Amino acid sequence: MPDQDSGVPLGKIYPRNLTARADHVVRGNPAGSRPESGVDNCYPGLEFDQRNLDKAFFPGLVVEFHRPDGARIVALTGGGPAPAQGLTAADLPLDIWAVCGRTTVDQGEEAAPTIGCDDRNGLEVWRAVHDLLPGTVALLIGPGPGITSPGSDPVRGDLNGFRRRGTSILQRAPDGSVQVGVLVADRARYLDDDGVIEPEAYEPGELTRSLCAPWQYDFRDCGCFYWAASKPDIVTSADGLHADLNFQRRDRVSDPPPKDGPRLAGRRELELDYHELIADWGVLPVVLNDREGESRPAPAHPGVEPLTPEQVADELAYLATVEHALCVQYLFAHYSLDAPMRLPAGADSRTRRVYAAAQEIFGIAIDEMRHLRWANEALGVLGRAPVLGRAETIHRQLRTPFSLQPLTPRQLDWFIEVERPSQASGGGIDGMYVRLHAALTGDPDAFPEADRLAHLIKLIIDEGADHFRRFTAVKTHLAGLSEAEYLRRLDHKPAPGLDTSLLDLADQNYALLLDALRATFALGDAAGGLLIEQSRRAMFNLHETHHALSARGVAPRFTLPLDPVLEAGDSGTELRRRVAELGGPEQREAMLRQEADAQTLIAALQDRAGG
Amino acid sequence: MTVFLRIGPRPEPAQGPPGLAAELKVFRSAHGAHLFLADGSRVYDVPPGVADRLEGWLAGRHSSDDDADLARELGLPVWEAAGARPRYIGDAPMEAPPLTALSLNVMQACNLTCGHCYADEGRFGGPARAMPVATALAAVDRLLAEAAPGADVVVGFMGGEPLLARRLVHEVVRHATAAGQATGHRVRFAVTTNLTTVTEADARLFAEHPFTVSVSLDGDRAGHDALRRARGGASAYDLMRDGLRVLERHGRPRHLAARVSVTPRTTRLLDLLEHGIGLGFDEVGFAAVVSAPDPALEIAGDGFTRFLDGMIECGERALAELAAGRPYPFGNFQTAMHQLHRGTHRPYPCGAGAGYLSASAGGDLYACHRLVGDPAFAMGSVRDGPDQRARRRHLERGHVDRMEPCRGCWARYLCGGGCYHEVSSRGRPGCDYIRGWLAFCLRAYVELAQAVPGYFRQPPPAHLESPPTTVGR
Repeated sequence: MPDQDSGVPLGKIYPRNLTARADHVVRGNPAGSRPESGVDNCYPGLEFDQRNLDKAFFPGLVVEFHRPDGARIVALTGGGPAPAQGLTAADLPLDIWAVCGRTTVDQGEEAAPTIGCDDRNGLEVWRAVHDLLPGTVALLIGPGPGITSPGSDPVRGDLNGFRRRGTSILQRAPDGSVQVGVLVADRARYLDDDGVIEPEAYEPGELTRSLCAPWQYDFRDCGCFYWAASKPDIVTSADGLHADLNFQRRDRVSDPPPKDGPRLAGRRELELDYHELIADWGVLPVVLNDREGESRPAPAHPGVEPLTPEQVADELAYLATVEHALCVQYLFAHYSLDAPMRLPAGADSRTRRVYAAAQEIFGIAIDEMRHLRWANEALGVLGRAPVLGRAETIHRQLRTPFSLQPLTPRQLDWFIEVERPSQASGGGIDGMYVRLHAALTGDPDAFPEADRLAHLIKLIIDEGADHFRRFTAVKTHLAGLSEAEYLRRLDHKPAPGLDTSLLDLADQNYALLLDALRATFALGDAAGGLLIEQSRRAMFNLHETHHALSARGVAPRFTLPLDPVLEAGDSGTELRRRVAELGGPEQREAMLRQEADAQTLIAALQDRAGG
Repeated sequence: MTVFLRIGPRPEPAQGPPGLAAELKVFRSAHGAHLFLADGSRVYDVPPGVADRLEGWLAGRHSSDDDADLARELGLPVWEAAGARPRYIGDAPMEAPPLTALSLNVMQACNLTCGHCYADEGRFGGPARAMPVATALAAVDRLLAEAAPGADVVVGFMGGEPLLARRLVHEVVRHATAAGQATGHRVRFAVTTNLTTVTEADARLFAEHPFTVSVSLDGDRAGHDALRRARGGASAYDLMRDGLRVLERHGRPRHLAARVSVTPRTTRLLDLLEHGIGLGFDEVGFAAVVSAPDPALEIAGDGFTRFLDGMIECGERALAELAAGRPYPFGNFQTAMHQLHRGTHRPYPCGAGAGYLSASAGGDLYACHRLVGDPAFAMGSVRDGPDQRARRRHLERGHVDRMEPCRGCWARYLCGGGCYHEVSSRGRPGCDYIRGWLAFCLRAYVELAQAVPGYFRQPPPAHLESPPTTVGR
């Protein structure tokens, strides 16, 4: 909303002079960027390959520009002038020999240039096609690659005459084969009325199909000056003995390696071709300081014994308990940090740093909670009941017992180790998931909703990699601070009174939360939002109680309940009353809120049990 | 003086930043509210609400954490508060760069006697001397030897009245041009003269080589002659007009500027400015006389207020003319406009002791022509080369972030801390004037940019381009 006085939107600060403008970071392409304003065949951010955008530039034809010998008509779609000239799929392939149309707005119709395709490769023909303005376009087509064609000679260079008259022709040899043809039509549009790429004109994936990824063949076509990251072109051999080698050379065994050629054409023949690059891209080594490392073959798919759905479910049931255990361990580590629940204004630098570390860990604990949910969702798909147990052993190989430990440097290193990304099957926590993922994708028919299961497992794997990074960030936040400066001294055996009441209340909250989660997971997709929201509030209340405890120097204990609250009886109301009596105004207010939340949740659980 | 500075690496500041008050200036123009950030001399448009909030905030005292919170809340792109990038200017002193300019005090004598002349008739407080030709040529060779490979350099001629050493000036120009060609340096020249003795040969020399000629002007005939006393009772103004006619007839320099030294006796600046423009100068600029042999001619106290009023009156005229698309060569204003547009920021007032040195008649080097003879600013000799330790010490001492009260002033990277010569003799009596002038210029910059956006798309006038083309103040 603009400010009435200045016209400047409220809250916006606009750079005016050169240093301010230079300092202003513009995220993304300018608002004026349009699909057709790309740099050569790649859009400014390499979003798609523009050669694909123009494949249907002529009504009724599908043209392939990704060819070294010119542009080829590879299919007919039924529209345009081709059917009237009797052109059928049996006549294909045919190639474009010349193109004519207006390319600048100040050109008169008589001045529209004719571009012969002789001596042009597909990319160069595409450049000419891409420049064509909306309006009438004429194509000269014939059998045989454009690059060796006679160009516009068959019509004596007067393709524009055909274009202006709107005359299409097709000339066949006595045997019926096409000798030459001229097709005239209005250039097909690729933008809709809103200036957006016409969604009806392209299939999903069609625009990006040839775009930069190591296993796609654009890696072959892009020069090092073009590549989004640093793509090597000329390298030195791994032993340092041979300089000026072609990075993409096919021959990777000869000694000495083949010398690079000075000309593009000669080089291409010595390089891995498209198919080889797709199949064997792993032979391309890492290059550091222009020197190749040792080639390594592409990592094989994790070699695992196929798992049955039963085995996958068993493994998931164990992993769900691991997620639960990790979540609790991380939460305890969070509470062990000497940081408030909310950062007050004016906090000093130490508090800010410890708070940042604490928030990072809290975020990871929330992720583990989500993993617990996804693992249970997957269990549900496999027909299993929810699992809310807590693993006694976190890591099968390392056999690390579950325990609540403050975030000492050693404990932090252990967390980093647990979350270290692993592509090996069965190694770290995510390695276990990798194994499941391999089983699911290896034999999808054996599993119900294999796609959904694989997706859930993949989500967990991907977040694990992020946890590794975030725990490493925790280390950075705490760097230079001693344990005494960032850790709370937590007492495990407080004296009776407010502290013990809070501990009992925390246990009660924990038990109620597990009940709520069990009910939510059991309902699965039918849970709707209500119970989840109530579970979330139970989580918050548990968190709040634990913060109250740890701020008072008391260690949260996360006692696993023996029985569900509904069966064991709810002692929460009494506990909250006691805490309210013993605590200050803040706690009284919190207890009032928690009481309301707990009663609502218990009522919902009772309803469900009754129903 | 425009001097490009090379800034050294940025260590952690020795002391914390003095807070938002030292980092920003809120100002308003006909087009709304704006923010000037000292670091990088950045200019932003801000909503009036933000401007009000900042002004209210600056009126109180706050901790650096509170400042940072506010900056973050308002999204101000200031220093660590934004957490985004290091400062443009750290408090590390600049490393002494290769030389780009050297002035030669060729003649410490003058044919006029002006009470307000800082050069004290060219004696700079000492006995008058003329520079031997051999010393001058050696100084040029020294400049070329100390310059960065391929860089443009400037040779300045200072006095007294440098054209009294006419033969030497001509010889130095010939030598410097040839020697510069041999070493791969393009040599430009600057001379500050009263123009009363200029000859046809001088005019041709100025026209045939890339010269900036700065002429001292004090007013119309009466005003000029009241301050500039020619020996024998002749009118210095008439002699200067004669000199201008010689230039018009026999060769006009690439840039011809008038420099007005403003004393308490100077009449209305706008009249003077228009008079100078009417004389055909490419640029007319003012400088307050802060330090003079006759204290009665120094601007002080209320004098600065009157000077500021006069400058703003001239600035308003320049703004109106330029906004209407007409040229108006008010040098101080044009310089300020282009520097604000480019966001010129520097921790030193000028290039003295950095890229610029001045050679005395005896061949000693000093930080600048105004500091010749002052042992505190001695920087080596032509024979032995610049004293790098002295230059380093000077640059350490002179960094504006290390000076009080400068380090707490929002204008410090535009002002640089004040002329070394004036500060060493008078302190800093003109800070309010400088801030007042810059505040006006900030407003005028926004209004000019809004009225004539194309003004800043034109290349700036030649004399505003690097490296220093004027070595006089």
